[in-house]
Amino acid sequence: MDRTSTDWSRQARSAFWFVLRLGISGILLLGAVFLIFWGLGSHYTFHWAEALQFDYLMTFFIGLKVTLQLSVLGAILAILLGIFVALARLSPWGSMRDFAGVYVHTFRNLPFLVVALLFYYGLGKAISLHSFQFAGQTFRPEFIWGVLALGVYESSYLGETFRAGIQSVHKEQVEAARSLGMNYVQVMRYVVLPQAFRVILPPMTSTLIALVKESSLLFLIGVQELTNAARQLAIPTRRPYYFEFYTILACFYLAIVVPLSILSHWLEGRLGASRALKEAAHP
Amino acid sequence: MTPDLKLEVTGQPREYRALKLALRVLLVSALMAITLAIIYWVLSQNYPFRWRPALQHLDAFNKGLVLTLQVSAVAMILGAALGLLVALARLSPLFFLRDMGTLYVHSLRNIPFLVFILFMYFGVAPAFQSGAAVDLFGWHIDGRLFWGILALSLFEASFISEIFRAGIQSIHPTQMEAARSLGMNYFRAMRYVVLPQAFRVVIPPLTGELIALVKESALLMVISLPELTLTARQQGSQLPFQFEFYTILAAYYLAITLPLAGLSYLLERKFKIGGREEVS
Repeated sequence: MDRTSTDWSRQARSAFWFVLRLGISGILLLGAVFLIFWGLGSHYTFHWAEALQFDYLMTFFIGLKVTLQLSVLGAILAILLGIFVALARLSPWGSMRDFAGVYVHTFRNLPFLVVALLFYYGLGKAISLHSFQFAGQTFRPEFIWGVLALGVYESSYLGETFRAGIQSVHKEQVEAARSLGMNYVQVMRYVVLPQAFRVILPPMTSTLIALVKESSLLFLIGVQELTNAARQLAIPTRRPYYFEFYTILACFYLAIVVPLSILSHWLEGRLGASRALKEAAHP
Repeated sequence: MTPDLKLEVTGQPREYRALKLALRVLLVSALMAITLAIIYWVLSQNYPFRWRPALQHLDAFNKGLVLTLQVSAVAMILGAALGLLVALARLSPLFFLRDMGTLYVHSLRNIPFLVFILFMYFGVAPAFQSGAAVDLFGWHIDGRLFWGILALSLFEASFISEIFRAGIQSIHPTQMEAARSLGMNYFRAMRYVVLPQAFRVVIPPLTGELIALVKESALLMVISLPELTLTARQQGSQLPFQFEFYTILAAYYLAITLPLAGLSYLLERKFKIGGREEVS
């Protein structure tokens, strides 16, 4: 009892110092930024009160909903495709491996913007999709092409992550499991995947973070998501406080991504796989 | 880590290996050709492909390519310089420098580049009333070019600084201590002992970052900088062959990034065999 209480007070004290430290550094950094801002001769006046109106924030929240839908659907598609890519990359047939390799390297080396434009303006011209209603919401063709582009693009990253994870499990384990009479699927299910999962999860979270960030580009093909909200609000002639709107936009993305980042960091520490690898590298 | 044992064990003659490789390349190209032909055929049912007229606009693409390469090169140099400063700040003994570096890195790493470029060009630039041209020490630069390169290098600095930090930290602290005990000051020890060794650790991921930078430069189209992507988009919106243009665009980007990816792979292999075992 006594011990937990001292533990708690120590933790509280360290948390206090952490917050204080971060506060001091944050003020210093912001101060430096604004010194540069005004020192270079800007006469900008801020309109935070006008920019933070309820109506404007609601526009952002509607955009946020679409961004989250895009991200979740894109992530599901990317994970499913990524599993196929990883299995193809590990297949016993050489040409299958190479084929998947070409897929992976093509998409990894293209900007996501190019893939999105190619999907929407290129494939969209040849294959016409129709908007459909689901759960009281209309999904327009640009949304569907956006999800497809996100899923296909990120699957090339996830495929490599899954492959690395599966390969991180020693070959002897597979052989041992096979010699116990398990078939390929059982070996994967009970021996390889549970161990690979530890290695896969942290980098997978960071790929999903990248997916959320990349979904912002879909405003260029006309998806009404978060970035589009800021673009529509920040019209200099009508509302001359563009700076505030883009800052709010950045804060919205930070609010989605920072928790995911912290989760990724926490998983990395908790699952211990990467720590074990680090310790093996530097004993 | 370990040398490639497989080659030594199998010990196949060189001609045999070359033949096998050629067969593999041939097989996968045939497979790719068949798949693409099927996709092409399916698409051509609804969309009339016109490659010959589309390919007559390559001059515009080449102009965009030159700008993309210039912007990427300048942004990479500026980003690397700034990244090194941020990395040194994050490793400094002064806590507020460390934390300011951390805040800088994490706030930029966690927002999309698109948001950052919109913020810089439509948020910050108008506050300086520097729309068309920027006057930088009596040197007039196109405003879009200036803010585009500035945003790209500030953003990439946050990623590059993490690479530099990892590279510097991979050098054992005893090296620094030994250099200091020989009478070198902090900067000399960095300059002559730590950085030259960190360099070889840093080079392969830095090449990877250059690929990311080239890919991110595509977003500069939103501030109407006429680089590769904007060229394709402008040409595509005026002319009826958008699919062809975007395919050509993809080919141009692959022509830049794939050689860099190959270089990154080769550098990684080269530096792996060299130094790491000597340290541990």
